[in-house]
Amino acid sequence: MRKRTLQKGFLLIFLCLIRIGLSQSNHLYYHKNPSPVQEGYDIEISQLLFNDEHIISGILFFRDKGELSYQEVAMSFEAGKWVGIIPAHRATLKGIEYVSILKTSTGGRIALPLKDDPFNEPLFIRVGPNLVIEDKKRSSERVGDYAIADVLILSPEDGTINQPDEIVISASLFNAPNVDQKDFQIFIDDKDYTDQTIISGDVLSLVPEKKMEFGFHSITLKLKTTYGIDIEPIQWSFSVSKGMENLAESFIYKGSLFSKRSSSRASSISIDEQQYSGKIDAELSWIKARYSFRRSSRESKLLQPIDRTSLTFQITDYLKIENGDVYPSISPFILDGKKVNGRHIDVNINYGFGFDGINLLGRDLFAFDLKGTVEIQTVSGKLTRDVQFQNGLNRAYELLTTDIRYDEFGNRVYLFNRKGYTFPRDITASRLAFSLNNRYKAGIHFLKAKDDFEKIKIRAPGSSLFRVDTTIFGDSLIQEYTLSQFIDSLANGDTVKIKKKNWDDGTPQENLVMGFDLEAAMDNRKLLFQMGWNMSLTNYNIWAGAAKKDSLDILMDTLVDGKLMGSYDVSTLGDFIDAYEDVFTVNPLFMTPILPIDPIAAEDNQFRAFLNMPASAYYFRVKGSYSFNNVLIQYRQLGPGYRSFGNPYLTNNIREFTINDRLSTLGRRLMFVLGYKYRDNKLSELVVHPIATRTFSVNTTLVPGPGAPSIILNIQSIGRTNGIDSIDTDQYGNYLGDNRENSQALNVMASVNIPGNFNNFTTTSSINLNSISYTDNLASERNKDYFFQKAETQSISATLSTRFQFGLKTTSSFNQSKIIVPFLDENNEAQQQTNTWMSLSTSGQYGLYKNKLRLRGGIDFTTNGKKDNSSIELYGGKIGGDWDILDKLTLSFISSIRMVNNSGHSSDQKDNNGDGKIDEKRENWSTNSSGFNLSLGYRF
Amino acid sequence: MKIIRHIIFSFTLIFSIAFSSKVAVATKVKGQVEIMAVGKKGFSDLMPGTILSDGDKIRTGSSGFTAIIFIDDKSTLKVKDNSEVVINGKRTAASISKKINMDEGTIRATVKKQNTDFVIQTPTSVASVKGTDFWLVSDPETGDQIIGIEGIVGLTNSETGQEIEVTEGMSGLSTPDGNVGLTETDPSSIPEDPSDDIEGPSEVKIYLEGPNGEQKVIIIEYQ
Repeated sequence: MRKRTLQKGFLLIFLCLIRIGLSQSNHLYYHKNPSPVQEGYDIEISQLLFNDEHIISGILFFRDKGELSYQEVAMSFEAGKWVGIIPAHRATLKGIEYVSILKTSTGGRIALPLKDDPFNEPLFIRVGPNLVIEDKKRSSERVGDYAIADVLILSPEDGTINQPDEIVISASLFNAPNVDQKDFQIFIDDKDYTDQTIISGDVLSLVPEKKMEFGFHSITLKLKTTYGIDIEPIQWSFSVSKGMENLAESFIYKGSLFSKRSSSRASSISIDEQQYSGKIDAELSWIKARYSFRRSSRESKLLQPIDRTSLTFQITDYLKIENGDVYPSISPFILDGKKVNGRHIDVNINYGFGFDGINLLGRDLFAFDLKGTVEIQTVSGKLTRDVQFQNGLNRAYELLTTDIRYDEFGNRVYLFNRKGYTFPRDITASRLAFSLNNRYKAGIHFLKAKDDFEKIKIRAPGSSLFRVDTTIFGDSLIQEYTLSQFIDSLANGDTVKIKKKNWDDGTPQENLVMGFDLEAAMDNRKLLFQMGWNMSLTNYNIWAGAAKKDSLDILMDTLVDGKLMGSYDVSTLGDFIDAYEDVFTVNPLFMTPILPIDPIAAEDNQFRAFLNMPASAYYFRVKGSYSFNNVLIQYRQLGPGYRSFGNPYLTNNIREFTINDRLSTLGRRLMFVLGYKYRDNKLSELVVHPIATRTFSVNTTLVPGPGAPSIILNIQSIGRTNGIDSIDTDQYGNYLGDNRENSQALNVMASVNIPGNFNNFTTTSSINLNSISYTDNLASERNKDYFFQKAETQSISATLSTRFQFGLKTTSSFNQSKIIVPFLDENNEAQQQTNTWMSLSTSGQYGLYKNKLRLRGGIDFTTNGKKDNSSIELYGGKIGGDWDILDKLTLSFISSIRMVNNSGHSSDQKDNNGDGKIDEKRENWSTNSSGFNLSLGYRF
Repeated sequence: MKIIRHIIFSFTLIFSIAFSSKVAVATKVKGQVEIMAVGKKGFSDLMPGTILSDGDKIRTGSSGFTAIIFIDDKSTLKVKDNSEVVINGKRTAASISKKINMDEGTIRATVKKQNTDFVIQTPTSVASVKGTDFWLVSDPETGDQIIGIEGIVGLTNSETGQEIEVTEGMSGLSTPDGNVGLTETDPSSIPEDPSDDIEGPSEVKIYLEGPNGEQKVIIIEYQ
C-alpha cells in the first residue's frame, strides 16, 4: 500500500514538473484549449473577447491531425463568448487541429491562433480514449489497421427487404479459422446485440428479441483473431418492410422542432437572435428522407447565408441525393466538406461476375470471380452566394479621387469604384471510382468553380453613402454623399462614371482541378499502397477574358515573332484557347500556372520538372499492419500554385515526408506512436529563405481498462531552420543583423484520468499538464543584443466531475496558463514578461420532480494574478435548467453574467464607463458580458 | 455389464450431440416446421436462427416453409410444405460434402459452385448437382420431378440406374417403376417460392414487337 502511494506520489511529481501551455490569451481574446478530450464527445471551442470589436460572424475550422483539409462549422455568440462545436464523431484518437476566424463589422478578421497564417499553424486538441466504451471499442475503427478474415454473410443478404418478424442475422466463420469465436461484437444500427448472439460450430446466429422497426438497418460485426488482432469490421445492411399492402404501416418518421431566443451582450457588442430549426426523418420501406432547416433573424443579404435547408433522399445503400446546403466530400485535394448550396448525388453500385471455369483433372481452369463497386458522385451548386453591397460608408461606392479624367469638352469625369460585393461562385465537381475484389481501387475526379461576375450589379442602392474629401468640394462641411446628392453638387458639365469592372474589392476568378487516385492492397489488406495526383488551373481575373490570338504574341514578351514567350505558336495556342473557352478562361497574364511544367526547369531535368509542377499536388503512401505495428510512410507535395476553390484552406507550397509507427501491446491497452516528419517550402523560387521543420514525436497511451486510471504522455521535438547560415554585414564586414533561424521546440503534454467509484457517488478526475519551450541552437554564436522571439507557454489544469446517486452532478475545474513573452527593453536587451492567467470554475445540475426539471448553475473566476493596477479579475455566474413540460416538449433556459474588476480603471484619470465622471467609486467594475437564452424544443 | 453398456451408450450419445458438426443455419421459418435434432427422439419446433447439425431432420406441416443455408458456400435449401428432409454434411477443412435425404415433399436447391458433392437422395432417385438452381418435388408414390431453373442437374433413377441431365427450362421425371423422362417445363408447374414474397429480385417484363413482327422482351430486375 505504501509502495503504491509512493508510486502515485512520484507520478504526480513527475507530471507536475512538466508544465504546459494550452491557452491562447492575448490582448484580443482569452481562449483555453480544451485538451485533452475523450473520443466520441462534442468539443466546445470558445473565445472570450476583451476588445470592443463588433463581430458579425465566426467560423470554426477543424480537421483530423495531419489531414489536408478543414471542415467548417458556424460559431455562435453565447454567454459573452463565441462558441463553435466540433461534432462528437470527429473526436477521434488522431487528435483535432483547429482554427477560428471571427469576422468584424469593419471587414477585419480575428484569427485563433493570432498568427499571419493560422491555417498553417493550427491549434491542436489531444483526444484520449473514451474510457467508458474503450473496452468495448478496442477493436479500432481505423482503416488499414485490421487483419482480414473470410467471413461469409449468410443472412440477411445485403440490401434485401425483409419482414419484421423474420429477421435472422447469421454469418459463417467456416472459412475463417483465425477468428476468436469468444471475442466478438455485433451491432444493429450502432446498438449492441452481442448478448443475444451465439456462435456455435463456426456459425454466428442472432435473432433479435424485439421486432425490428420498419426501415433501413445496418449491421456491424466486429471480430478478433485468436491472437487478439482486430479484424476489419464487417458491415452490411437490410431493410424491414411488410410489403406494399402495408405501406402505411411501413411509413415511420421522427424529428424535432426548436425555437430559440437569445440575447447576449459583451462589452459594447449586443446580439439578439431568434432562431427556428428542425429536422424530420421519414422512412418508407427502402427509401429514407431527411429534411432539416434553420432560420435565423440574423439572416441578411449582406452576408453569406446563416439559414440552412437540406433535403436528402437515400435509397438503400445505392443512391443518395442531397439538395440544399450540402457538405460533399469528393477528394481531400479538391472538395472535402465545404458547404455547397446545390445538389450532391452519390451512387454506389456493386457488381460481380465470374466464370466457373472448365473442370479438368479436378481443377477449374480459367475460373475467375470479379466483384467490386462503382461509385459516382456529382456536385453542383454555389460555393458562395452573391452579396451586392455592404451598409456603411464607402461599402458600396467609392470615389476615386486619384484617377482624374476629363471628357472631350474638358469637363471633369468623376470615376467611381464598386465596393462591398461578393461574387456568386458556381461549382461543378464529379468523381468516378472503381474497386475490384477489395484489392484495387481507382478514381478520377474534377472540379470547376467560376465566379459569375455578371450577377453583381454595377449600380448599388441610391442610399449608399461614400466619402468625398476636400480635394473635390474644398472645405465643404458635408463629406458624405449619396450618388444623387453628389451629382446634384457637381458643376455644370461635370459627370459621374461608375467602373464596369476591375473593381477593388476582389476580381472574379475561375478554378479547374482534376486528378486521380489509386490503391493496391496486398496480403489481405495488411499492406496498402496508395497514391494520388492532382493538378489545378486558376485564373485570378476573368474580367480580362480569354487571351485572343492576336494579342498572344506580345502578351508575355515584346518580340513580335508569332510566338508566346518565343516558344509557342500563337496561332495554334489561340485556336486551343478559343476551343476550350467554355471549359476554362485561358489568359496567361492572370493564370497560375501559366504553363503546367516550368520550361526552364524542364531544360535541366524533365522528370524533376514534372514532379515539381507548380500547380500539382500528389502523394505516395504505404500503410502496413503487421505484428501489432501500424506503419505509415508517406510523401506528399503541394506545389505553390496548386489551389482548389472547393478546399480553399489547403496549405500549398509544401513537401512533406512522414513516417509513423503505432505499436500496441497488452491487448491494445498500451500504445506507442513513434513519428518523424520533415517538411519544407522549398518548392517556390519566390521563397527566398525556405523554412524546414523536422519533427520527432513519441506518444504513449496507457488505458488499462474500465475503472482504471489512464495515462497519456506525448513528447514532440520540432527543429526549425530557415536556410540562412551567415549573419548580415555591410560591405566593411560590420554586423547588421542576424536572421538565421535554428531553433528547437519541445512540446510535452501529459494527462492522467482517474475514475472513482464510491458507495453513493462516482467521480472522474483528470490532471493535464502542457509545456512548450524553445531553444536557440545558435545561442552561443549570437550577438548579445540578439532577440530570440519565441514565447513559451506552460499550463496546468485539473477537473473533478462527480455524479451522486440522488441526482446531483457537479464539475469543478482549475486552470493556470503562463505565457512567457520575450521583449527588448529600453537598453535593447532581451527581457521576459510573464503573463499568468488562472481560472476556477464549478458547476452543478440537479433533477427535481422525477428529473422532469433539471436545474443547472455554475460560477467561475478568472484572474491575471496581478496585485497592482494592472490586476484584472473576471467573476462569472450562470443559472438555468430544462423543464419537460410534456413528454417530448422541453423548455430550456440559461442566463449568465460575467463581471470584470479592472483595478487600473479606478486610478487612470479616464472616464472608462462613459458616465461623465472620472475614477469615481466602483468605476473599476463593469459588465464584461451577459446573456439570456431561451429555447423550446419538441421531439416527435 | 448392462450398466457398462448403458454408460457407453449414454457417453456416445452425449458425445455425438455435443460434438456433432454444424453444417447449416435455418434463416427463415414460416408456419409449422419441426426439427428432430440428431441424437434425439422427438420433434420440436424449429426456431429461426437454429444452427443445424449433420443428421438433423426437418419436417414441415401443411403451411410450413423453411430456408436453410449451408455455412461453407451459402448453398440454400428451401423446404416447402409437407416435406421431410434430413440434412447430412461431412465437414472437411475446405468445404462441406452435402447430402439431403428426402422422403417426400418439395424443395428448392440453389447450389453454389461445388468442389464437393451436393446430392439429394429420395426413395426413387438421386439428384447430383454442381452449381445450379432447381426444384425437386418428391412423392414416394408418383416419383420425383426436377424442374431446372439454372444449370444442370444429374437425375438418376435408383431402381434402374437410368440417368438424365435436366437443364434450364426442362423438367426431369423419375418414377418408382424405374422410368426417367425429360419434358419442357410447364411454367404453371413451377412451385411458388414463399420467400420470394419480399426477398430477392422481382422483375418487370415489357414486351415489344419489331417492324417485322418479331417479339422482344425487356426484363427489368429489381430488389
